[in-house]
Amino acid sequence: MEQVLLKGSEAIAEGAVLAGCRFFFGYPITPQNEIPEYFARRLPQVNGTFLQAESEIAAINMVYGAGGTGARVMTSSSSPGMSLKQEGISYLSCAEVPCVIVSIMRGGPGLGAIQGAQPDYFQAVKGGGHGDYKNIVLAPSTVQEAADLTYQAFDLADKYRNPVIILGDGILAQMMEPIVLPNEKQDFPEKNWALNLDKNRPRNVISSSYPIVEELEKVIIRLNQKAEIMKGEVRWDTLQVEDADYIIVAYGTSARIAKAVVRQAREIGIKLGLLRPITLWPFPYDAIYSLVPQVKAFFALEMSTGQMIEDVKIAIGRERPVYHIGRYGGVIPRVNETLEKITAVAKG
Amino acid sequence: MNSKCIDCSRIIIFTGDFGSGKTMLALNYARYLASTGKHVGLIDADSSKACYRLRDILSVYPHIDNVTLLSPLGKVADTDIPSLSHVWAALQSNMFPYLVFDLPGEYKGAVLLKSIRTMLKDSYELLYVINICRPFGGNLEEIVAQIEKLQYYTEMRFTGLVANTNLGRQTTEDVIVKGFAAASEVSRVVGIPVKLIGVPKDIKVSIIDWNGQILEIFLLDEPYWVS
Repeated sequence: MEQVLLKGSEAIAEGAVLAGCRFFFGYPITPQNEIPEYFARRLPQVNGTFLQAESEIAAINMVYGAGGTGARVMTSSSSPGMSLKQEGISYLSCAEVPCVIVSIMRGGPGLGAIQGAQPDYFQAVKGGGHGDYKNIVLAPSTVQEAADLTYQAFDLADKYRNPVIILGDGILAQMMEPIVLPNEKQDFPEKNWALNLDKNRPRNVISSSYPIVEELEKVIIRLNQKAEIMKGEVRWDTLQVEDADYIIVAYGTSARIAKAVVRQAREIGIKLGLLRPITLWPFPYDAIYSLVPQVKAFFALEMSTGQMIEDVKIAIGRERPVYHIGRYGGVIPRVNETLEKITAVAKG
Repeated sequence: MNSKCIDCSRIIIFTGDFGSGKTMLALNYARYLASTGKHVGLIDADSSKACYRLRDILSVYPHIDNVTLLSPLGKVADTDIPSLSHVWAALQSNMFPYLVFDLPGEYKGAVLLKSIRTMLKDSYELLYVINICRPFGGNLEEIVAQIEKLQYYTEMRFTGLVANTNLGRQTTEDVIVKGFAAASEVSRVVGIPVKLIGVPKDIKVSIIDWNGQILEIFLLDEPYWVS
């Protein structure tokens, strides 16, 4: 297959187009503007619709509308913009409208900074919006994976009638790598629940409003049962864990740094391995727990003050120490400083 | 038709589509000019792509003698606010025998070019960078349409094309040769000469019937912040 040179954000957009996404609604914000810019040029070529909404809130509600008709639809934003979308995401999750939402994290809280960071793990993984709901969260670490996971995200969204979040950061979004694109998707699932002009079926209703509490409780129980099934989609990757005395857990851009740390740690005789969650929800609890017998300590490398580390701690309980390593606000953790912290623990 | 010599001009501007390689070309062209002993003002006019602008790259790049980076200073340097006072100041000054510009891609660069057009009093090279491995850069019609659109909008004419087809670290001689052939085809259609070929360091390329300039591009360790 022919290789193309893409930025992470372009790979996300092209992966979506090849998966049959024909609608994009968004509002600009750095460092993810290349996603709407790409769609603005690309969607007209495939008779799709690109629309720059008047706000993030408008955009996510346009996703609600388009997704409700059964169309494959996407929106994207970055940290402050993602905060604005949360109410809509909660509605989409309750109404079970499939869609793909791309969150390209930057330095926060507040207006923060435009450089890549990972401070929105909780927002994506632990709810973000109000109410009891779960969304599948995929965390690409390479430009190739950005295209592939976005492509697959549309199938997951349709399979479970559930929003799927792609969680990346400004570094992955801006980075360029040669990749091979997936084939254009040809067959799409039937959506008998969708709102369309078919008069030969009973009326379909898509809503997140259940004023009778017993009815709402039934919906919540059903969503929760669906979440249990979605946990079967858990994915992770490992590097040199077989003989590892120490494990570094990292996702997305941090996992790229962690790979270099593993290589350098082994050069100085520290048996370090990497476990990289690809799905952040569901989180690979069992995969991490299975390493406990052989491992002396775990490290969570993330560009936040410690969010994913809480899931690592849930995975292993108090059986082994877990150390946080990270830089914040858009500062990138360096390999040498990360290695120093691991060496300090390993050499006691 | 202009002569093939790029460094006969004092001002050298790299422009083109998003991600075509303007930043690395500007940096490496400045390095080449500086190696001749001349002082080069390297102008970072890109306010759009956080993390991979000249100001970000030079902070981790080996020091280059005779190259002075001109970029926004202070708080604004880390933002996406289009601050251009350093561009205007550079154009008014005689401090540098050469000025090399890294503009943002596509329409963002065009807006900037239009704003400085009347200030370009010295001779300049306005180079359009082509990488056919990039999206929207793959076929002749799209490249030609893009060139014509930018010329129409800026009311300026490109003085040269840069054949910069690459796949980053996975570039091969074959990729470069194909890219040069495509750029030559564009050149025949739009009547603008190919003036430069960008070639990642350590790749040997021989292109028949080409006596123009080949510029060695020093790639960053990828990702550069890992090392």
